[in-house]
Amino acid sequence: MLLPALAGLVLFQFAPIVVGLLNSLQSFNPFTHRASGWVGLNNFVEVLAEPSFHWAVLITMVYVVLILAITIPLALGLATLLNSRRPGTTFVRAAVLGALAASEAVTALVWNQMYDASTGLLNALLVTLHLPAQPFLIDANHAVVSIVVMTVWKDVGLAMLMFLAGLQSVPGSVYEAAALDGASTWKVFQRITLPLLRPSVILVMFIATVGATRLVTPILILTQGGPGGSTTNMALYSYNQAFSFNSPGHAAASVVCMMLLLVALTGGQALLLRRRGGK
Amino acid sequence: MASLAIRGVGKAFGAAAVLRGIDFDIADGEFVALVGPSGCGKSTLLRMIAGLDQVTEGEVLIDGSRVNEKPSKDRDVAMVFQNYALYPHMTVRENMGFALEMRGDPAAERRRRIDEAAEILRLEPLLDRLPRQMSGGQQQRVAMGRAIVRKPKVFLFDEPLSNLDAKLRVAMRAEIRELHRRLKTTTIYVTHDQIEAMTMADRLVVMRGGVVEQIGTPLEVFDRPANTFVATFIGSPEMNLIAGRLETEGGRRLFRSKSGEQLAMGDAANGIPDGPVQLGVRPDHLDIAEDGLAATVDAVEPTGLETMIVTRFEGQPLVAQQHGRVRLVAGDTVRLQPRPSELHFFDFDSGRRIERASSNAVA
Repeated sequence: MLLPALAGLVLFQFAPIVVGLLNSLQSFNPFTHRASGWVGLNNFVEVLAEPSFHWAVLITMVYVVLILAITIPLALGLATLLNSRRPGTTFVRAAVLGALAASEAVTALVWNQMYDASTGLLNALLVTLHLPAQPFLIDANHAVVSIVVMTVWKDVGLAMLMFLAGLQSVPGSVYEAAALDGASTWKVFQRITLPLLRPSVILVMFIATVGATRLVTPILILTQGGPGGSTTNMALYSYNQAFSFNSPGHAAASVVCMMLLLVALTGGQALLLRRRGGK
Repeated sequence: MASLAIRGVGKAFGAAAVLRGIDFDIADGEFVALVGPSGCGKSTLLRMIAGLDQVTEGEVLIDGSRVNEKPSKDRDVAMVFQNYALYPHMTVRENMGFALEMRGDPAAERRRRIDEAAEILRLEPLLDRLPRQMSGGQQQRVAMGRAIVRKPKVFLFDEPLSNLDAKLRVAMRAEIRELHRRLKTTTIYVTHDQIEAMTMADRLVVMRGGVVEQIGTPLEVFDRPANTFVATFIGSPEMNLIAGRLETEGGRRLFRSKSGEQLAMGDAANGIPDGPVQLGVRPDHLDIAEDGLAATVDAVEPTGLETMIVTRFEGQPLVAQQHGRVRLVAGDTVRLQPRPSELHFFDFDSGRRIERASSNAVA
């Protein structure tokens, strides 16, 4: 019974990881892309010495922090709004889930047009409101934020669904008991809702962290990693090493570094949340 | 402690009225049970008293003050929910102290009150446990503890024992009664279990279909049910109802069933005019006799001290409860004779109780 699932898991999950690990320890012929010999940790030494990789690590962290910082409160707010079943919530739900259902590449292309400095919708709106036009994808700082905004818009629906499921699993009588106990709306949120949503928060943080670390498509379509490599994260760095610079060994080494960073980030989060929960 | 008054209270969800014209008073320190079948509106009424549901019409008064517009927290009532509604992430101590913390009681006072309530409910060893680490009965006691630490004016219980097994339910019944005796807090207790209501409450409010059918002490309601609904709802096994006519033949009163079987009434029907009636008789007032209603035995259910004889008379079930053992088997024909002094008469059409002329005939 388990064999087909196990075979799929080995073939599509474990095997690529092992191949990636092995590739990170080998050198490759740049023309044939064939492995040309074992080089030990040489690929790691070279990748870790590159300033562009240092920048990619920093930008990866920036994406993770910004995406988490925006996605979690926004998703929680939307889920709370939907859970209250106020008028208009059906529209909000459809809009948010619609974004989730849309293709990432198509979404990025649409946002690319909206961000366009001269012909884009956003600058047109700003100018109409007598506000200065913004260099959304031209300036380095603006570009990072623009990518984050598009990613949050695209992915907040999933986090919202998870929070909504968490909120709906709390029995209504618990809130009624809190009302009888004299808790204000804020106290109910702080002392009842939030602690009971802890499992959902952990799950959303994990999924959002993994998603933000592996972010490629929006960056590739919106900025191609620019301007001047300023929006290139570890995932795009690895992609570029493999497909632009014909260096599979360096690509594999940076992917292994990305995996280690991911393990460190999610492990740290789990540890932190478990400690807080314990308290 | 406080008195409570329900004045013409109604509740509608859109066009659907679920409660109509509810009117009764509860004295300071009284224990009143709202009892009725599922869907009769008893929990809705309790929730309106708690402020969890809006009152559509009428007034709810606590200590003479209208509380319709007051939020739950300002009514000074505590409620024990059917599913206990404990905060799952808080320990017993935190659950019990939450309301005190919300109203700003100092930590020392909170601790004193929690310890006091824990002692009353024997919860001291459980104070640091989470709800999921306790049995249903223990969670039930924590829910009561959470209510009593606040020393509210009114306790509201919403079917608090329905999730417990039969044995624990009996034990908890006694605990709640004892708690009320000790604290003397005005209590409203919702249940669909008439035994629970009868054994615990000072007074019953019997409800059906959103209206009050009868209010009275448990024995008043049991002995003089206001109509056939109350007669069959209160008492277990339920009262038998036999359709027929009261007649007078040669100066003798008799009851004639639909199939023509006769029962001599003696003085039992004094003051009740001849005509169609529903005759009510409790199972323990039906005796096996030489003379009486000829019924076919469907089942014999010995319970040890007593035996239930389930029979069929004119197509309707007729249950007799006999002390001791009975040698009958399914298919036997048995004659059942009601005790005339224990008979109840109800209007044939409306089902309302018809009182006899001599009140001393009612036990």
